[in-house]
Amino acid sequence: MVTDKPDNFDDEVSPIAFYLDRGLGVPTYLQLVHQVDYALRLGFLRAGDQLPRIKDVTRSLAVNPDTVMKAYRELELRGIAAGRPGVGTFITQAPAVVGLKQMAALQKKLTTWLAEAAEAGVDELGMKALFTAALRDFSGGGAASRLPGRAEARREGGAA
Amino acid sequence: MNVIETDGLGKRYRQTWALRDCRLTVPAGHVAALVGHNGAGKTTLLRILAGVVTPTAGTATVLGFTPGSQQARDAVSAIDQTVPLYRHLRVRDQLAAARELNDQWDTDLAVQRLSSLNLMTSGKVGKLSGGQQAQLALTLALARRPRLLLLDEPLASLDPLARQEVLGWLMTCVAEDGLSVVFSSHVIAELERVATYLVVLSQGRVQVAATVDSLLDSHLALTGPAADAGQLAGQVPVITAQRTGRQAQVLARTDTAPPGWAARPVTMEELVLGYLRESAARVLPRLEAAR
Amino acid sequence: MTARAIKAINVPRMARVTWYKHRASVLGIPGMFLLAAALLFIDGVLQRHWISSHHFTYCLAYADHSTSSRCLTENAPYTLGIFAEFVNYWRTEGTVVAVFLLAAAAGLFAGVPWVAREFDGGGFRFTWTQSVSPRRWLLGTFGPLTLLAAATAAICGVAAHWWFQVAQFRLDGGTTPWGWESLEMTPLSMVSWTLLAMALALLLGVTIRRVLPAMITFAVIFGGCLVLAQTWLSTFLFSVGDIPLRVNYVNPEYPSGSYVAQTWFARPGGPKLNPMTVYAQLPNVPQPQQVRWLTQHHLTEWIAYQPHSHLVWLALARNGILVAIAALAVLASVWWLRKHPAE
Repeated sequence: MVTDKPDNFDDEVSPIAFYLDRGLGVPTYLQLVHQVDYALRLGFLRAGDQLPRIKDVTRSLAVNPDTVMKAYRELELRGIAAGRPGVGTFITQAPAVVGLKQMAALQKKLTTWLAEAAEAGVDELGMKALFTAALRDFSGGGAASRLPGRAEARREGGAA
Repeated sequence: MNVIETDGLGKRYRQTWALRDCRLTVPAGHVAALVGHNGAGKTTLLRILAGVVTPTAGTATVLGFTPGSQQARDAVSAIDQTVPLYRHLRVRDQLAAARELNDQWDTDLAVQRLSSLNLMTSGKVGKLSGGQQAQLALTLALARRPRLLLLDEPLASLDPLARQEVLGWLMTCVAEDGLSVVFSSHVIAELERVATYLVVLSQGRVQVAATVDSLLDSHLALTGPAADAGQLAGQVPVITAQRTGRQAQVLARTDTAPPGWAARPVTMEELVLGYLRESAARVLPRLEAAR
Repeated sequence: MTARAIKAINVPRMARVTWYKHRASVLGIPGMFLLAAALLFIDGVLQRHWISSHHFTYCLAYADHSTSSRCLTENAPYTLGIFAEFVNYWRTEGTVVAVFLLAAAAGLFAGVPWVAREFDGGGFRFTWTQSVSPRRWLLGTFGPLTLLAAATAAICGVAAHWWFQVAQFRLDGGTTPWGWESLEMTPLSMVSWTLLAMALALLLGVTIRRVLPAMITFAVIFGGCLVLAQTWLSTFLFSVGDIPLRVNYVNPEYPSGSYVAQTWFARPGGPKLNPMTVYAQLPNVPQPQQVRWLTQHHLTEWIAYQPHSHLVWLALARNGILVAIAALAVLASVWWLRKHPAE
């Protein structure tokens, strides 16, 4: 096997390349899952595209191949990707994406909320804290996701 | 199939036991991290498994073979923390000597790896930097095509970029060849990315030995009122607890948050640090006030 | 990217490892012996040239039993004196000692560090984790080195023997074929001592495993062997199979070139008497009257001698003992290594 510069690897088979944010505190495999999700939403990945090969990811990111396999399995469970033995893992369908018009309306509502908070004297950090706490509670993450019997919720991954 | 099995393994140097009553079973296909304080017995354990130290008590097997036996030597590569090489030789002579000393040898791998590292074959091994010597040792170890690789702080002398690259290369070998690795490391940040099995040694004894997945699934980081911290020990097994004023942060071995406590999953770093701090790791914790 | 399986690890491959790893010893030890051989050759040529240019000849009288005195020419003392000015005594004796010690040097400076440093320097943590077994590695790499040393020691021994044929005349009163110099300046002796030195180096390296203590121990033990061989061993060996002979003062019968192993006095049918006690009782008179005194006291003087023809066998036996000890040392090393392969 010829030694290439890591940057070239993923470009050969997949439109995207993975990266790791070690300071995030999020498990590695989840980061990969989120990056695929994000890429799908932004249109970098489309149905039929191939995800980076496991061995390419392990080489460039220095992660255990099990971790990548875990991420791809998670994507399979969510119905986003499917593995083809001997070939690789491919995107089967993009997740249901919210329409552009809805997105614009939501953003307007959010701006209104931000103005209210600013008027109440909340600064930027305070706004972030409020939003993060609400998001956490809303997505059922944290302690609730770890309760036995909530296996599905657990697979969604506890928010860090 | 287990790559490592030890039972009651112990090594005494004069009066001190460097390793005591060590019982381990590491399954195949894992990258196992060996963590512990300096002097906890990591090097001794790795040297026994490599076959360069004879244990005082107990037994050990690697891939089912006795360490130091012919089959073990054929299937296991080990790099000691002193990175032993023939330092007065030129790199190409060191390479040639290693080839003659081994039954299985992948010349292509060795040559390509060395040229990609820009290691001059005409230079003397002793004149290479610590990091380059470590790279050379790794190349020689992997050119033997082992089934198990034992590394004692192999990356200590590598710069961050080289570290990243070497780990990537090792992980590729794990992915492609099914190589099992046992390495000791002080860099906990790497463990979560790379390790799938964790062994924590403390004062020569095994403190933790489990798969990373099972450890992360079975522990929680709890936050709650400091006043309740004392009672908590009776409810769940507490590993460490730190009090800051009114709040307490607790590492507990449970998958359920007790009422009144907020829980989040632990990171590998917190888990390892927690067990390192609490060497007894008993159910009853020593609550320590934050400094 | 498949690995190539290489055929079983064998001596040629181990020999190549020796070449890579111990080039200094592989070149140094033979170099030392060959350099000594060259110097001895040159010195021998110079000495023979001097002799022939002064129209002298040299012969070893005791060897051909023809004459009872050694000859350098008719004017033996005079020519010996001139020869002495040409060739210094101390230089001759010193050369003999130096050549004799070459084997020790090989063992001490190349043999001992070779093995001990593998342990001392931690190199064994590399070597012991390769496919080759420690035992095969040790013998497979040290063996060729030893054979090379023995071969070049033999060449050096041939040169030394040739050189000594003339040089010996410079030693005090010449030297007897039974003297330690004659015994040691032979190819057989040099090879035997080299084998013993290397075997002892192997044993000490494997047991002591630290360079400096092993070197010191080697110097002590091997030095002891050198001394012991010249004093006790020779005396013991040369009395084996000796021939007793009644002393005839008129016509000493034992052939020239013989070695007198023992002397004693005895009465007919009586035990051996220490010659010193008899000499103490002898009256202080001229020799013929002393002989009469002895006859009156029924005392006969005896000697036990080794004829020159026995020398070859005794030398062979002496060197054979050295080689046997070397073999034992090698076996002991292998056994010890198997018992204590690691730390």
